[in-house]
Amino acid sequence: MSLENTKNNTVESLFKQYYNPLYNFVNSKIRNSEDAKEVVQDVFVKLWNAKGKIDLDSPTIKSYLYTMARNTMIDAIRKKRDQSDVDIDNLDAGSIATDDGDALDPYIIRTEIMKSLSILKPKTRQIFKLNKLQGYTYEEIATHMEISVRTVEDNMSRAYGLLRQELKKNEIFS
Amino acid sequence: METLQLILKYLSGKASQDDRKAMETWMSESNDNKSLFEDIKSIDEQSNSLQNINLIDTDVEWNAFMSKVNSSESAKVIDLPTNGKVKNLSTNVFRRRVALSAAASLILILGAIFLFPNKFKEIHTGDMPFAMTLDDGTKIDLAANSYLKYPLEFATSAREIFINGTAKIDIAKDPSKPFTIKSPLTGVEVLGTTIDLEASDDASTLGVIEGNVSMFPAGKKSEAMLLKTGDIVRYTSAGFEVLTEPEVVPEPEPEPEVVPEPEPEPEPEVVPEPEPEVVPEPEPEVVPEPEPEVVPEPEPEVVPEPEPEVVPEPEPEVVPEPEPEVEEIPRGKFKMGTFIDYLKKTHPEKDNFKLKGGVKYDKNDTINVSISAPLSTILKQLEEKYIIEYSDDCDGCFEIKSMIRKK
Repeated sequence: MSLENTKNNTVESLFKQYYNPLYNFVNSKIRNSEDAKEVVQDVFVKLWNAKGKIDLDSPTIKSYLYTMARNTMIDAIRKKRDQSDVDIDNLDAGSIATDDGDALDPYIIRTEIMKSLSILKPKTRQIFKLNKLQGYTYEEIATHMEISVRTVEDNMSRAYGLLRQELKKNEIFS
Repeated sequence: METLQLILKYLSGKASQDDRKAMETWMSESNDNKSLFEDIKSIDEQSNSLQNINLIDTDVEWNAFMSKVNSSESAKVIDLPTNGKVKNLSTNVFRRRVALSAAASLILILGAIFLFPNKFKEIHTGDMPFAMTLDDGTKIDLAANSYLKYPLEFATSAREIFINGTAKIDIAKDPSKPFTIKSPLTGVEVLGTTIDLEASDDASTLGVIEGNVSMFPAGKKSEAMLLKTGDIVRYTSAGFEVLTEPEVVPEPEPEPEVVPEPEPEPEPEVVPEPEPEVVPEPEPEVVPEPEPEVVPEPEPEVVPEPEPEVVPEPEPEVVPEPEPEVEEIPRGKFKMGTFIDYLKKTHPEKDNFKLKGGVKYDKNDTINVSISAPLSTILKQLEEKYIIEYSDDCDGCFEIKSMIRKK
């Protein structure tokens, strides 16, 4: 993950860059959109209050945000333990044990892909979504859209090519 | 392209023994090859987990964040006398209450955004315009002093929002879910298009940048008027007026006013006036439907619905193919800002329109162009009003290096 571009960060620039990855990370664990938003908001409130005390341009800022999100989330779950059906102990032990910011990378890439879908031509985007979001096979898509499997393949590789370009442009890929 | 297909085949496990070997050799040849492979692999893996990824509008969240930060600062001050310390848990509700009152005072100053319990979101812009993307992909540029109300989630069979003010709306195509924009006086129904809408209690003015649209007096879908690319129409209590300039005028003299200026020009009455009794009540309070219900009854469809299956449209080119007879294409009047954005968005792939960084122009200047004409024609029309200098180092494309408004 490229970090060369993280100079002159502000709370706002970090917010806009990491809000969606953090939100989706938290939401994938607690599966409650409003709570997830609250957790991420709280993370940035803490960052805001620490302004001046920490270096926003630090290469470890991503891990810092991730760790704060993880801790804030665990606090939030503890608080609601009684009403919540999330198994806190399992959460602790398993899926969120990793403590480094790289755990956030998949969410950074996924949210960036979602954002970048808008640059695809409508047909290409549709084929990509049918395959990746709805799980149709190339053959099923071809039949459904009355086009050849070859056309589906062409569109898919075009989608991958353009998405990679976009992710490089936004320095997600080096 | 070939390479990408081979990589995808390799990743899917469907490659033959030979292809796999070739792929591995190719990868070991250079770091660039290797990183291309790794990137595609990573996109492939991550995009298998996109189902639960939501994109939250960070502009909206940032505004919510700012009012939270501001109010929590005042909450600290208020907390101190009661128990001396701000505790996260116990004061949460209290803080939120303070946040609400703090937000309320912000409305007056910079406009505010809040969440209503009925699952609608409302946005009032103050002095600042506001850009956002709805969850269906529709993009809305809301001008200053405008109001937008939209559901957090669209209904399954229709998309509906309410606007009082000025907005540019780039509607995501979805033939199975017509998009309706309600305003005090009118409704606008589209299937996927880009439009400019200026709606108030007294008039609605609509410019169709691209696509087909039907516009109707609020609550009277049966009186809909069908518009197409380039059309500009205004609706007032007196009925519809077509503002689109007839293309015959060879030299459109520079008009200083901003696009849909209310003083009626001698516009051709293209459309038969609706019968007089049709005219909706002039007072804004009588406005037919002030709040948009999420799901409109499946009323008689005004716009012919394409088959609701998953758009097997013939390659949806953003820009209609140019007709040979260029003179026939009607011109429309557009703001420069809208027009340039449109060119940038629709022409980069086809014939490569670019604007060098730093080129300045007045976004509110208006221009008469045939937006569906070929780029060369559009640029010629632009040159009627502007002196334009193009870069030489851009082969087969049009890159504007500088542009200056003619006197």
